[in-house]
Amino acid sequence: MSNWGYIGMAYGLAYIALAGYALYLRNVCKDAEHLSNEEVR
Amino acid sequence: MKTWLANYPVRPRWLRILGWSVFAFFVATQAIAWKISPPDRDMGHLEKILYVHVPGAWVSFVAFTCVFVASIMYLITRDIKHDLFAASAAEIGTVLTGMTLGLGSIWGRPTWGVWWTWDPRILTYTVLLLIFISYLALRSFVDDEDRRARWSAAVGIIGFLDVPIVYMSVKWWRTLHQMQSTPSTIAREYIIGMDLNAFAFLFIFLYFVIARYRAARVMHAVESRREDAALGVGEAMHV
Repeated sequence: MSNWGYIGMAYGLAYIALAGYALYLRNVCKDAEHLSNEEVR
Repeated sequence: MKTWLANYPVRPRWLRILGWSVFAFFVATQAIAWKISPPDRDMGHLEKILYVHVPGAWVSFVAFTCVFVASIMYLITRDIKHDLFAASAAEIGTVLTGMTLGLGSIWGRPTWGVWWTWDPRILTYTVLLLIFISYLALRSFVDDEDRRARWSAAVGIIGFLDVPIVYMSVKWWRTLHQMQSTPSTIAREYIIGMDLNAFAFLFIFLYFVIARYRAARVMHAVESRREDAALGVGEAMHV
């Protein structure tokens, strides 16, 4: 594999890790908001 | 409690603005680092991997330091807020550690010729990852809130002891992993990219930890309120 292949793999991994956690966090926040809204109602 | 929940939005407007600002800053710092850094004499363009690998490692240390401090605070005060903060920081620290190890492995293949080697730096950092995976697993296994918080605090404090070992490993033992670079050992065009990305990762961590902590507090408050209602206990302030 060329150096650019490794660089692409590395940046792919970094962005997937960060974006993946951001998506997970978005779902956790939505769940918390849902629970909170239910409780307030 | 209802009033508290109504006045404590999980993602207030300022947090959303912070999130988008952090994202924009991260995109900008990545672009700047790529634009200004020339290929390294030995590594060529592979040095660009270090703009995500090194900041990821630095900020994972910040995350586990937060776990350490919050765990001590919990044991002193027994305030559940500290436990929730420690758990939030541990979760993000674990993601960053896993990411950093993966990036190191990808960088190591073309430069060292191997994906993995039993190097003290890599080994101690892998142990750190395993400790905090165990920390998160422990939290999901223990139902009793007080016990979970106490045990987690113990693991968080003991687990943190590996952080200075990871940092010093390249000085204490003969390793394949290079020693820490300092501004005097690397060229200016690499330092700018590295520093900017270190701040970008730090801001990402701050945004993630604030959002995760707020969600954890709301969930904890709702669950406590429901438990109290099920047990017929009067409403308490579990926030």
